[in-house]
Amino acid sequence: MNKILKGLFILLSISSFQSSLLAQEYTISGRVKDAANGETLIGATILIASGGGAITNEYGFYSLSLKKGKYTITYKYLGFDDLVKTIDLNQNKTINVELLAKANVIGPAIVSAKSLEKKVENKKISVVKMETAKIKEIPVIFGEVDILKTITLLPGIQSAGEGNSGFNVRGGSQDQNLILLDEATVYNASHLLGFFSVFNGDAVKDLEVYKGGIPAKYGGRLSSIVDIKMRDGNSKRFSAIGGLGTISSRLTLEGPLVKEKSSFMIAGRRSYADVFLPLSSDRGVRESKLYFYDLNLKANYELSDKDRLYVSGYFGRDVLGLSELFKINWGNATATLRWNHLVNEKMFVNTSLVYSDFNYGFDIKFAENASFGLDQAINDIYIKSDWTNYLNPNSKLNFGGQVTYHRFNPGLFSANNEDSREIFQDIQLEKKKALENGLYIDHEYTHSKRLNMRYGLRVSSFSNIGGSEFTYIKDPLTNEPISDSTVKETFSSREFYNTYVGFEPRASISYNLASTLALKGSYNRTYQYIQQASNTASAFPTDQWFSVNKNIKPQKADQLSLGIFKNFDIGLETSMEIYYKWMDQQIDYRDNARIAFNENLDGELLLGKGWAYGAEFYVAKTEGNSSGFISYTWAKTMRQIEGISGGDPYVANFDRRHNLSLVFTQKFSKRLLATASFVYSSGQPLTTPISKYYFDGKWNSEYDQVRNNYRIPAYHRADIGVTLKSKEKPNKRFKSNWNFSIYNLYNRDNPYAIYFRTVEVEDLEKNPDAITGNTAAFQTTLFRIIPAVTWNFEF
Amino acid sequence: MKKINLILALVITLSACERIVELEIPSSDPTIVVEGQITSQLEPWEIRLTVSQPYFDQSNLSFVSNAEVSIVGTDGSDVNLIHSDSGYYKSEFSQQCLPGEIYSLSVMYDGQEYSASEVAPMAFPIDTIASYYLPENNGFIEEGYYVFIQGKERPAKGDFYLFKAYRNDTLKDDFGSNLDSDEFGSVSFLNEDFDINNIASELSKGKTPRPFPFTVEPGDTVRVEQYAISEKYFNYIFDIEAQLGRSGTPFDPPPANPNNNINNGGLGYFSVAHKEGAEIVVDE
Repeated sequence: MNKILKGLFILLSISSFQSSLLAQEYTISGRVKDAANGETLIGATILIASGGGAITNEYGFYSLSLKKGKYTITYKYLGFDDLVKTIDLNQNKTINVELLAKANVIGPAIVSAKSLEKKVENKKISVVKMETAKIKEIPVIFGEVDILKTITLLPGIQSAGEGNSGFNVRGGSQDQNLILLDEATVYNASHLLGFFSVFNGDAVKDLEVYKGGIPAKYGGRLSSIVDIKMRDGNSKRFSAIGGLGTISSRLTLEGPLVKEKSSFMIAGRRSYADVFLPLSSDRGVRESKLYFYDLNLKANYELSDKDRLYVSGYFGRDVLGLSELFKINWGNATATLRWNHLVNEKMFVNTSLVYSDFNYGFDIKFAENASFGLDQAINDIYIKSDWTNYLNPNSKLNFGGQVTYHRFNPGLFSANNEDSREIFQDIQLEKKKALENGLYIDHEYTHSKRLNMRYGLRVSSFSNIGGSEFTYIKDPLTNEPISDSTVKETFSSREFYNTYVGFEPRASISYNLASTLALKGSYNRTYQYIQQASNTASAFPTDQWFSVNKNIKPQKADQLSLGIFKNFDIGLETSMEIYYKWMDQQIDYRDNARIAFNENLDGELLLGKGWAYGAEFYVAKTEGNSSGFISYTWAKTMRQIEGISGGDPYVANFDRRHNLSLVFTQKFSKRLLATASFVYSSGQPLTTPISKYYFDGKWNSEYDQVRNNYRIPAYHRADIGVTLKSKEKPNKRFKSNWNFSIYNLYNRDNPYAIYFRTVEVEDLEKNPDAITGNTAAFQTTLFRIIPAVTWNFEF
Repeated sequence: MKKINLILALVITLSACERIVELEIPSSDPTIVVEGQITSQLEPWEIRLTVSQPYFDQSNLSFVSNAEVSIVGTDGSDVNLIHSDSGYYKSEFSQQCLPGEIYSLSVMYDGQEYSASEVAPMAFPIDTIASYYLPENNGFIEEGYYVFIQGKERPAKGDFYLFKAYRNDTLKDDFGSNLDSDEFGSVSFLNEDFDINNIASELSKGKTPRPFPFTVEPGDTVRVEQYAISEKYFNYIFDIEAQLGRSGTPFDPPPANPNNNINNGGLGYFSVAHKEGAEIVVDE
């Protein structure tokens, strides 16, 4: 370890000091914003005509140190007009610029060779980015803009299935994705049991997904980072955007608090399917509840030239209830307080205080004297600080740390009313606490026009904190499994009774073979200390989060990826990547596990290893009247866990061998735009019965010992969407558009689930042509063809 | 779980549909299936031996008629069971098992021995059986007459029960789980906290007993059987019911074979139970 640190130190010292010693240097720094609304632009490029440049960070900030002299600087951002500035650099300068969005023109795209080169250089390996504007053009079910659904069209990111907002990245399970909304962890990103994701498209500015090459500043999950940033709000004038959709309606209000200095945004969304429930003739349906809502809030304030404060929050909730007898509800709440500070022109620091809570509960009423609730929660509070030192145009040093205090409530089973309390004593499963830390250092270094690299190290640790009773599943002395879970130990409430430490090296390298051709590679190691396990056919909001402890070791993954990126001057961007990932301590439940309200959940878990590999292909045309992309992924995901499938390797539940998506957008006029998309993915693996037997008057299935011995038919679907914008009138701020979409255009009967059961009389009536014995395979289909209309407005 | 499915059905638009599909799936060789339970009640012991068949096989159930079957107990019993018909093997005389004794089944079939053993549990008899009238649908069960029982639990934890209820000699097996245990508190079918002598006043307080969830009519004869069973058999039935409760929703459990007690790869279960019974003629 010491060797690695020493090497790192030497490398850093050389690169930091070599250039600064040579000549008198000055720094240009500032922010890049959208001229229309003052939103900062993330990832805007600053190009120096004589070579070199910078990219704005997540707060729109850039810093560039250059020798004394005259420079021509071009500011670029996709979809915006370039801005060129000539400056005479003889002192440190702050240059804040505002870019104008490209006029809505129709005509052939002009792609400059320079921008193509830049694009090849700037593309990071295994990182995908999507602008909200693009996401909004792609048709989705019920016309509900859903950023998490849309990213599954990209290579390496697989949808967990229809009606599920979960996704799997390069052979990782759903809980291995870290979803961050303005730096706050979102533990559950789904509404309506997974039909929609919790992110309101109107409130989101930008989204970046790291499938590999994860920078050292991120940690805590094995497979991916989904970094979502909320919009800051219009700092120039008050404005509103909103829409009426098939499922929900939304409204966003934003404006300056102090002109050009401070702005706010408040975005709300609510579903309204339940508005129609009272009309039902059935009392049960009438008294049912079924809705979700979410609220995004953000405000920022410029304290001084050097300091800026941001406050952002998210609050969302789902309620599903069947009359007053049964109710599930769940929701996330997050709050982030951020302080951007410029230590000097070269040193940018952001410090954040974050709160994140996810809780869910069931209420069930058997009778007046038997009404119970079950509540579970995970709650985090953390402080993090991220520093960037813009040493010189070729060298950038990032470092920082994070301290997280986790609290887990695995379950409180309580009586809901007086009568029930008389006969029932609350049962509280032992609450758990833990501290998770991360420290990192990361260096971005451009060696030459051809070669640049980024390498760093993250050191993470996780400590369980005492104060509750701990149940061993293995004897701490003999390490032999204990069957009756009687060996318990109580640690004092301040004691860190168990600590894991992980060293996570991260590196990526890029080599330009030619001006529009680059070879890139990355390696990263990641650790994961808190996780979720599912004992149902698909992952659910109600799946419990739990941490590592003396029984369960942290998950660990190593991933290598290699990619080749080539842009063609007809405006095509292409890339191909291959990856291999090794995963340790992968989790599954043993057969017939009891997980609901189980004090000794650890005893139901089985741990083993996993590995995944694949190849991803991507071709995109981003500019012009006709644009779109093709994405294809070949992937294989395996698991090997003692106690499952006889200890032999088996394909993971979410293994999909082929994944293809095509998205094509055509602009017909200034007002009319159409998008068509097609997706194909191999069928999901399934464990089938190998025989049936008669027991206790019923036909039972004997399942194959080989896990996932079968694959259900492939999934494919085409969607189309048409957007018609209102006429643009000068001096009129009000704009609107209609969006018409058709989901599953050719009405494909995609299997949602295939399962096996006894044939009932009704089944024979419904399937008159079926030739069947007393048992059969049944396929359920979720969504056939679904048209939808949405009306959007802004002013 | 059924309630969740109902809600889900509500959510999943009404377009969700289901149909029978034909698939090519692997098949195992036929395997012996044991279905047997012996109890504390004095009656002839009987078990059934059948054979598993491919999942989509349309032929009738095939049974084993040429096996040698015996049950040996630590109480000194050694009983041969003789094939009568349709795979049923019966003892010549009535037998009963005694609490705490171990009973072992042995089946010789096709040159293989399949065996299983269990300890006989114990339980208290049912104290009272009664009926009451529920004036309106409470969301779980509709209005009507219901039968319930009251009994004592054994003081220690670890009571596992299976209940069977017969209405006019017909087994009512169309209600949900008929399993109950004291794992999370008390055995609710035993209604220990319900004052059975003052049903009307208890009901007026909003308290209801946990009845057997099927309506009956005045004049019906209802017989209830209480089987104290082993934890393993309880789990076996619980898991089998979970697996049978599949509905093609994401709430379905992952496919798994329940843990049974037949060795040598045999399917099914050999259970030893303590049996108690009670009977009532429902009145107005």
